[in-house]
Amino acid sequence: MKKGSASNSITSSYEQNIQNIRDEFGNFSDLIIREFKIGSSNIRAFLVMIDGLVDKVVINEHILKPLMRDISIYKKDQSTCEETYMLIKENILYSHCITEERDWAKTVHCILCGDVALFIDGIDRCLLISVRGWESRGIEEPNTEVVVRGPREGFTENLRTNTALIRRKIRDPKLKIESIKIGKISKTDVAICYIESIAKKELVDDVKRRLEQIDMEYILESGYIESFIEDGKYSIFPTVGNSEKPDVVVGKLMEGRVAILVDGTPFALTVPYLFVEAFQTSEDYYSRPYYYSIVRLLRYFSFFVATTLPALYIAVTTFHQELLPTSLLISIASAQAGIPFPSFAETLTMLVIYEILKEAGVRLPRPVGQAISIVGALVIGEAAVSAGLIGAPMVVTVAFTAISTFMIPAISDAATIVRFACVVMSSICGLYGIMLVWILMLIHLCSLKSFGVNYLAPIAPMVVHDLKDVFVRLPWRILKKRPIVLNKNF
Amino acid sequence: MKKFVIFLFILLIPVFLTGCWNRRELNDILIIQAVGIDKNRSGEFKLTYQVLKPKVLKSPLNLPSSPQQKGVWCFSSTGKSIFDAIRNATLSSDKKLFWAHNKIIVINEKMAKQGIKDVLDMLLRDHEMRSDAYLIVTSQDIEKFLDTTSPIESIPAKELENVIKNYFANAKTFPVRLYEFQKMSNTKSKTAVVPFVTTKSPLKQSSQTQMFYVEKMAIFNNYKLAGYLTHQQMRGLLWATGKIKSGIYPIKLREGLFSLELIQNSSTIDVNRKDGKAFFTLRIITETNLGEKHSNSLISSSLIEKIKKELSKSIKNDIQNTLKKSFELNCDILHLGDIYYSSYKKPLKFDKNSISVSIVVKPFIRRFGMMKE
Repeated sequence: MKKGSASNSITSSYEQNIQNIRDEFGNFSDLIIREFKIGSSNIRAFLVMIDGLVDKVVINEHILKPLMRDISIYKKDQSTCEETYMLIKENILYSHCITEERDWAKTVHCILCGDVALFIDGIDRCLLISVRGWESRGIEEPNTEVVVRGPREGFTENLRTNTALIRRKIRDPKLKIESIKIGKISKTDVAICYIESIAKKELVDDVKRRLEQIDMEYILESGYIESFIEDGKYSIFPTVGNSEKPDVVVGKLMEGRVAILVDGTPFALTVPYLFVEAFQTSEDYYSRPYYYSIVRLLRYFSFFVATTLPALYIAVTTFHQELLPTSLLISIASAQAGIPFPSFAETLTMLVIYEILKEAGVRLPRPVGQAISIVGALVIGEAAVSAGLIGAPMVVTVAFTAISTFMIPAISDAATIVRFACVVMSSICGLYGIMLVWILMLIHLCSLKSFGVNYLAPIAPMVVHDLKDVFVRLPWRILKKRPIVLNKNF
Repeated sequence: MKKFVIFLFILLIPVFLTGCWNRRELNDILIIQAVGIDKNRSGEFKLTYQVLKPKVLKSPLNLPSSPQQKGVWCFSSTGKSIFDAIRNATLSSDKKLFWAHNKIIVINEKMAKQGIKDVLDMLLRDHEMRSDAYLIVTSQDIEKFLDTTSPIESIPAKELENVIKNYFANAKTFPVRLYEFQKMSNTKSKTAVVPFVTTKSPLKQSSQTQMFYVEKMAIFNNYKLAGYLTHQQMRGLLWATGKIKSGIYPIKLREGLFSLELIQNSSTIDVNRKDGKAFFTLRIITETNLGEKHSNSLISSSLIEKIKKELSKSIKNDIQNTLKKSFELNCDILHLGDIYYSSYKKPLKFDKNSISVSIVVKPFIRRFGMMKE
């Protein structure tokens, strides 16, 4: 038999099937082919599986054992292969999910996904038994979105676990979880979640269309997908949101968004993503509204600080000294006295040093990470000031800027880029330069869209109905109605 | 690609649209805190600058007492005009002067008598200057006056600024900024007042340090120093212009001495014209607290009435005193001409006989302190 036809469908020949498997997989070190005889009869059969992807205990106890021993109870001695096959399918196998398969390619794919294929002599079909069970991380508290009050569970790398976490929070058949495979080689499972009656149909279709158009050999993380489906391809601002927490994703689903879950990563994507979402955290909604309204205003302030404060410092100390109150100017001037660098060089140095420290601190193993913070805090902060290399107000400014960046983790990288632009422009033309950068940034933000929704909505264009959850978070009795911005056509 | 280049070009345009391109590092400027203006014998302008020494101010442990550790240093420059003198400063100083934080402009008494209209012109006209510095007149040598070592602040100009701003508590002086002076001088009345400040030792024995003392108020008539107001007369002026905030009125009666603290005041001034004469009515309402009593008599309603009466009398007295001075110098310190002009659109004939001012005082004593007796 030619190899080409062998890979089309399963034959009834036992030897041919084994040969086909061997041809397909070649010298797989993790491929297991278990040959055995069914019951006390002479009907031969074999199981094919990938070691590590299947649950060994289940196979031994619930597949092999019934097939080799328990089957004798039912089986008449002289039954045919076909009768035995039906018996096995209907009575013998203790498995929740069994599919019959004739197609060779699909069988191979399922084996690679962690199913066990049962081939029986004389039958031109195989049974695919789902015994997927591989080592995976349990549900843990996510590191990126830590909360004081609120659920602590986070997504894992396992797609099924993740969809189950979402399903557990919405017990309604309207919650749809559709599956799609992306990646020509990796064939990664991707799930699209939405609530049928809430999410706009055009939005869901748009998401599906964009996902189908992805032309990529492999998908390792949801970030791959993000870069393919986002709107502003060259924008520094994210137009696709991500979260590690099921409660956050469910909250967004309930507002009419679509979530995209990718196998192999705990980060789920949510679209559309608006600018104001960067200033919202899940805890805003779990705690009482008054304090968290202030915190939210602080986040907007922090965005301003994170983008503009160092630039403002440069502008005020080198261009507009008259803007400062005299006593403040005196203390800055006295701290700057004898510093050999111009303010711009000083600021840039400090900002770059901070970025280096931050990046080094993130990647380093934890015990070494402490050394970094000591070096950062003591050497840069103290020694550089007392050595007269950098002024103390500069250190304060950069430190405050750095801390402010952590208030808005979702857009901190965008804020950093804007910050550098502001610093450069303010060293060229002072406050005017900062203004130019901000105007440019605002024009850009206004022109951005995320899946058909204006990025700055509901601020620009103004949607008064949704403003109750933008700058402040009003109590839930007022917030009860779903935001309309996602369903509005501008 | 072409689009991108055009976009970049458009981005570059606004950068060049800016008018001021004045980048100066803090280390490249001399921050002036006070400036003194005088004329030397050859008729040239001599400017004395009090400039910050940031390096000295760096350490918080530095005490301002010794001259080496003073937060400022002074130097002077001369020139044919004020602007010339300012630029000539760079002949000796290592950096350019920075004027935006100038707090005090000290004017020599002699020069003030000759008129300061042209002197102030540059300070008001040039864009680098700020017109919110306080004007001060002194009879002392300007160099010495500015080079004072003050006991509290390491920057004497700051201390001086605070001293003259204290008027709200004593109601005997009034701080005047450069633009306020200009505004007052540009009215129909053409008069303005400026504090006259001298230095004095904190105590008789003490040696190096000097304190500022607002001795009196200088009256400027049409930019020329015309005379002085005493503290009492200044108080009258503050009453008449409604700028009084708080102050102490010691009232002497047969029963003893009573000190009243002014808490809240309001004054309005109206004008009426009759037979070519201008009748001004000044209505004053004042609320006071009794703060001190040197007397054995109990506080009774009759005593209170007496105190009130005496208070009105002394307030009236203050204002009359100011008026007297005003007529004496023949300059309209109370700006009566402006009030007249705004009602009748005619200049007021400033003459003792054609002006009469009647004063109505309504005093209240709200509290009598924490002691019964």
